[in-house]
Amino acid sequence: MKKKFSLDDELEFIPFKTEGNKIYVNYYRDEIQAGFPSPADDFIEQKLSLDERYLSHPDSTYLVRVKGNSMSPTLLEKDILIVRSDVDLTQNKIAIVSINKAAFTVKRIDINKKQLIPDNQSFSKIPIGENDTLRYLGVVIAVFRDL
Amino acid sequence: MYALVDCNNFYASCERVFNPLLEGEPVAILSNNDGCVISRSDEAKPFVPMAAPAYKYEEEFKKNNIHVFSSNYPLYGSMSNRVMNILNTFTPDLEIYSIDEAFLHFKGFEDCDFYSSGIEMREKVKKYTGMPISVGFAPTKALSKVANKIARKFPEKTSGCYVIDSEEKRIKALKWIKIEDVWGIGRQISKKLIYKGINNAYEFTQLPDDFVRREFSIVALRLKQELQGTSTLTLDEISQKKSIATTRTFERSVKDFQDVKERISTFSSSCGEKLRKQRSYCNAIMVFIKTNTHKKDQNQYRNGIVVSLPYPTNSDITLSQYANIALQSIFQEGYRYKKAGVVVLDLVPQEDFQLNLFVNEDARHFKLMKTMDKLNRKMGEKKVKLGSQDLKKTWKMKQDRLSPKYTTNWNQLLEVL
Repeated sequence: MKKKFSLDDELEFIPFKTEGNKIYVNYYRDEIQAGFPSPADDFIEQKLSLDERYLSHPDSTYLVRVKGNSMSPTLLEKDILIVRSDVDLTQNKIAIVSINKAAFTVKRIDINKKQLIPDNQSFSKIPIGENDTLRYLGVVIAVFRDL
Repeated sequence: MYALVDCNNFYASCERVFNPLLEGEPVAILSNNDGCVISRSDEAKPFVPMAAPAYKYEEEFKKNNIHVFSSNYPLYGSMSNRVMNILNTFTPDLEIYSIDEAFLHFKGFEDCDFYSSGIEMREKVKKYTGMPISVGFAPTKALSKVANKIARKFPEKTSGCYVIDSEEKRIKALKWIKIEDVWGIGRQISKKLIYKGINNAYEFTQLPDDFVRREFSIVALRLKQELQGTSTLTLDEISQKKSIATTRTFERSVKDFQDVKERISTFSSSCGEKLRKQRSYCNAIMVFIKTNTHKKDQNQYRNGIVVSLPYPTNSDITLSQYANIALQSIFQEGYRYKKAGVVVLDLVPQEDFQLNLFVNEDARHFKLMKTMDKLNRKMGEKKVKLGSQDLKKTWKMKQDRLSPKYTTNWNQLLEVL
């Protein structure tokens, strides 16, 4: 017999409320204690904000949509990428770059071997030559996708 | 010390951030309804003059491969906001002067290495937003304008930042800058000065005080003092060709939307009045609000937005109507606002503004504004004001060459392969 799925075991239902443009989820840090309510009750819940998690640096954050499947399975067509221009480009990060004034592309950056790597193996790697100029918009720090 | 920070060819640079193809290429931006050229990249400057009517220059655009864009104010406003927020991290005293220009006041930092912080500013803004800026430091606003011009003019020598911090540098800079390029010296005054043999700012500062006051104005005298190193000017006193700003710090902080709205409406009327005084119209309006950055214990918020106007206007009614729409979209409850401002942008002279075939200012506004100005002059400041007005109208602009709203619209994000 299949194991019966129980909300109680697997998931905790977390109520959320909206406030302005942000959506907060109530998060209980400690177990609820019995007895007198503590004056610190107001501070028990921490607000979880997706804005705070992903858009904490609005002045250097750009949202970009993926077209094509050169980065699949990591990134799929229509995925929305959260791109940060203040984050340093380091080995193997995925970034938004342009070589020699071509349109921006999303690729994994291999700094050591000086090449752009598409995660999709049916695409070929793009070498960065000595005389090529590379411009980069930022590093992809997160992706979101509607299911 | 003051710093004037200016974005280089702001509109063209905004387009370049998201379109690498434009790097090093000539770019021109058109006013709303694709009327005339309001911004050019350095590469486009030899081919198209400022305010060139687009329809007359189609050939020229094609011949020189100039990339032409309709003005994308949502994008420019959002990029401006990013730049201003980054600049605000260098000092709490930020005074926005235009969409692409701000004065930063460094009070009590007198002994720091301004050149290095200017370079740091440039690098941070460039890295975060892709925007190239020029920075000029000096003891007064008028001098920081001159320093900025030097930084902009000699990017290799200065790396985009110049500091006037000695008598020697001040005099050298004033002798370098032509009188007609001095901030606040209008065309009329510079003509008169050149006629009198005054060709640069240094010669201007050598004129006797009472002569400057008598021949020109009290503002010209203050300008002279500023160029000599004494701070006297408020930004409102200087009339600009590119934009007009009305910015105020509130006496006490304000929480209510209605209170902020009432002030924004007053500021936009004041911009309208200044526009009419210099016989020009504006194409867009920027509104910003800010909490008190000095009060670290309070929640901080700063936001600004640019709204494009349906037709060139200088009517208080139209300006405050659109300023209000702008305010509604940036106002957030729960903050104590300390400062706000209205900037009218992309000014065109009354004589050659483009008539729009379908939507134009209600002709009655012109008469009404004229009467209002007259009454106010006669009866003293601000006797006649606007009530709260609501003229809801829908309109569609001609924007054939609009780039995507990369930063403000889910459907127009940058797409990458």
